[in-house]
Amino acid sequence: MLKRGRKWSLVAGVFASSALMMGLSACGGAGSPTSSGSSSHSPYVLGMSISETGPYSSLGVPEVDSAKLAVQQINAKGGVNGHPLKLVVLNSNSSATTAVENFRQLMQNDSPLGLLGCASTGSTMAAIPEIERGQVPLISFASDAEVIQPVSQRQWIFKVPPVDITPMQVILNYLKAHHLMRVAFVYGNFSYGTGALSDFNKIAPPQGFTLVASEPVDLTATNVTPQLASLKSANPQAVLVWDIPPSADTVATDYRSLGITAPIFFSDGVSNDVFISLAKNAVNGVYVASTKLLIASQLPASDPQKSVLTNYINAYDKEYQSSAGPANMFGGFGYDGVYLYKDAIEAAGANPTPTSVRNALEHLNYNGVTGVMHMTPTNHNGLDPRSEVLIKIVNDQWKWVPGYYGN
Amino acid sequence: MATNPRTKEGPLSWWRWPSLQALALLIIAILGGLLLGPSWVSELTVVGLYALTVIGMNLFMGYAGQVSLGQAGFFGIGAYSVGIITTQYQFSPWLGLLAGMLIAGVVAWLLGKLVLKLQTHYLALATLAFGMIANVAFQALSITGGNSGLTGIGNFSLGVSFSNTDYYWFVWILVALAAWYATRMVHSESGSLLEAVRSSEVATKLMGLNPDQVKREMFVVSAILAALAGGVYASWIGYIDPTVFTFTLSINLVLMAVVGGMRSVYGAVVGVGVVQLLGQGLNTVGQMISPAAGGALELTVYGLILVVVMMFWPNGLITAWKGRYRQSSVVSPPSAVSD
Amino acid sequence: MSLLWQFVVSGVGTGSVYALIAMGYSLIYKETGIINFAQGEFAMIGAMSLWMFQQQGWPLIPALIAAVAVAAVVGAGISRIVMHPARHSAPLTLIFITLGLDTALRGIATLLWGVNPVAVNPLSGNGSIHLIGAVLSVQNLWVLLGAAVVALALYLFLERTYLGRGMEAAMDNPQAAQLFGMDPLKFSLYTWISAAIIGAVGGALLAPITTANANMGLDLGLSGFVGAIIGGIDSLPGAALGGLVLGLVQSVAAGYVSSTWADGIAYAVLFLVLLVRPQGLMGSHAQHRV
Repeated sequence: MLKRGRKWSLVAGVFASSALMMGLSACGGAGSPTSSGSSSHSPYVLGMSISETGPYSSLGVPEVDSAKLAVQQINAKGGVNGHPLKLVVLNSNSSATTAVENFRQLMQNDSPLGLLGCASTGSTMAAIPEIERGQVPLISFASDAEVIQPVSQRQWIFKVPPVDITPMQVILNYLKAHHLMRVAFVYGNFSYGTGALSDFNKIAPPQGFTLVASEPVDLTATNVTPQLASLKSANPQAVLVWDIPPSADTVATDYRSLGITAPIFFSDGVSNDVFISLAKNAVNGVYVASTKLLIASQLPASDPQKSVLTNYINAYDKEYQSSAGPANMFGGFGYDGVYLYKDAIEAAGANPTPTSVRNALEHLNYNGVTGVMHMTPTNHNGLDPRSEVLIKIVNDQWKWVPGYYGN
Repeated sequence: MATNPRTKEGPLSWWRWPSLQALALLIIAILGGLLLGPSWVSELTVVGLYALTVIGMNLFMGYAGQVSLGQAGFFGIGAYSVGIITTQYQFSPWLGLLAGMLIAGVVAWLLGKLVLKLQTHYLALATLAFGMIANVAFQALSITGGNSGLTGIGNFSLGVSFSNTDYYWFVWILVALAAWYATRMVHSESGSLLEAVRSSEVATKLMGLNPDQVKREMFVVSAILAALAGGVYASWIGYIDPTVFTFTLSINLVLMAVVGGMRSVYGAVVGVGVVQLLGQGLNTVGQMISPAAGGALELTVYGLILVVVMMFWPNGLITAWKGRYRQSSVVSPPSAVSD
Repeated sequence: MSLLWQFVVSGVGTGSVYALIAMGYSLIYKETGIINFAQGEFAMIGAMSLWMFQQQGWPLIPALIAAVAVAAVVGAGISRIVMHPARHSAPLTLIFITLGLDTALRGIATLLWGVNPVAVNPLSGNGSIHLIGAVLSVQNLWVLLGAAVVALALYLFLERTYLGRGMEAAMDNPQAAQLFGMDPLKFSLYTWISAAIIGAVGGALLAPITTANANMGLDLGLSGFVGAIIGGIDSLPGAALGGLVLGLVQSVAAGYVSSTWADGIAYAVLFLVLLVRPQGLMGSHAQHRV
């Protein structure tokens, strides 16, 4: 028998949950800073969705901290065209679905001039259709070139990090100079690693390299000895690794314990002091292709990036080193993202719109922490390949190996 | 067991309560969409998609007394079917949706043939293994795009391509239909059989009925609903990769099913709503404390909710709420489910 | 051949961790009929607590003991506050409760320790040894040793002590336990504390090899669980064997097939075992409580 109570309890339940929704929608906005309503100089809004938690948070946290740092610096100097910048940040929890949701919400609620974010290629890829529909520019921190190519379908997407092939070319240049042509490839079993493997297959064989073995490594791998043992049996002259900590550290440790003597080269995914602290001695002697940030103090004064790097590193370390460790490449992406928007908004003139900011970005020349960038309508990254360098870890310190660049 | 299955609602004529309730749900969804405005549409679309999956799990878990720890696998099968058909073959996503439901149904049927004879623990494990293997397959195959996933998955269209709001309507119509079907199912002959299976499998067998078959039917239905939700999800979000269809998703689905009440079809909707919105709220509150605290707080509270609800209201919140009105216990005491 | 030997040695190294966690699953299942999905979190608590005490500058042995003690306290709390009061719940309900505990412990650990991986100092240096051409890290030897010690200690406890025999008896017949003067509350408490200690030892020994983080418990727990089922969850030696078998299967599959498929192959083995011999390789009866 169906009793009255059941029906009413159902209705009540649904209403109770709708009430809950409304209540929450009120506090949903609480995460964003309230705008100080000045009429003539209303703030320019930038929206950001980033992995403050989850597997990509080791990238996302320095990115968001550095973006906030850049906003503080800009506002302290009077903002952009006299307007303060306002950064609205939503956490994606490293989920692609949440990232898409966040961008939708930012575009609907905050009328941003530009968007920043997604530490990972996956989340950026997920958000692209939504952003192309919403017609607000996005500056991404994803590594893979597919987030900005083909440009015809990525009209609104820009990115700060070097495309995979730039650090790869740095390593290949070193290998060519030392006649190490039989190469094995170890890659993290996620889009960063698998994308790099396919890039390697495109660019390395034409330069005379032979791939003798390739082995995937899970992000949660606790033991990669089996993969490395079969790789060792292929007898490579050098090994390239496209992975991030902590599994990159497992690779380094097991590589040493197996006694493989071929030199080992890591991608910029390990450009963080965490890589050294986790693997201890095992990383001494490995090579890393990365941006100049880790070796900024070793650069000659003539280097165009020297002063901007020093400024950023000092400011970041002062604010965050105690809580989040020293400045790293990922933080640089967030910092550059905000400054790119500053330059683009200034270039867009008196009444900037998302469209005019996008158009300005396409013609921007910018000298930043990550590198010197020349954006064009066909290149939404435009990073100078000479911004990438080769680094060797010696006595737990990053040591520049001059002479090898990404071109 | 204290409860005679027949003291529950008897068979109903098809048009009575189930359809009215489904209609009420639809109207509330429509009103909700109108009142809450565009920023809530996406949120509620997600709620609807999960609700669709959880209604199926309800039938299998609440009424057939089994647990599936691999439902993300079926959700993924639906999503990848739509993804693959639209990106690799340029066919209509509708075709992908049908294919996904068909594949999920067949897989569930075969799986059911193999494992449904197993006891609760082992059956749960077998579904866990299935979910894990499915996830590995999504990562390892080339047709699924491996770890890079699939981008640019086609929109549904009926004449014109679906907008964000169209997806919202579409999802909630599906939820109402599924709720209607599930309620009918529960009140039908097979529903009584389900109840009997849950209360005592031995008694069911003595009555000359085949509990495995009913369980298998429910398993297939739950798989098809999960695949349907997964397919719509893939088309709506436009991008999928293996990190979505994990053990964690399976557990979250279980959580939503359990919180609302495994034995109430509409409890599924409430469970999903409460869990999703609570998650949002906790994330927001957590981030006021520190950026990393949002997700962690959410995890902690989710876990504690599951523990507390299971300790004190093992039949879910909706059922507990209903119990306030009905002294005669329709809800079997916790121990009735065991042994 | 030498390649296969390396895979076997590596597999035994990983498998010994799974074996430790599997024994924890088995112990709780044997004694209380509960499948404790939170077992992997004890390993996480052991690993992260060890790191925390090392950060405070504690010497190795006190830090290790303190880390295991933290896990034991958590185990006792779970038993006292949750599992004992809920002991009459349905099997399904109990599964959900332990799943909830797993999630909550992971959340609390993240609140306390953040999400980043941390390095834990090894017991005796970073070296590795050569076993007839195959390489095994020294820390991995410690894990193997730990697994052996735990297995032996459990055996001695259950077979040779009055308390242990009481627990053994209680498994088969609750009334018999009362003859031993066993209070069900204490009974549950001892079981959970023992399981927590076993898990924490596994996590603390593993952490120097792999680094530790607040999320490590889920994967470890699942692997240990699969090992326990393969070997037979109602048999402690069976669970240990199952853990080793799982490590071997993963290692050989990663070496010869691909590490992408390795996990899939491990779960396929689980699936086969469930179909062919649901009680596991060494389990005695498939339906302990159902």
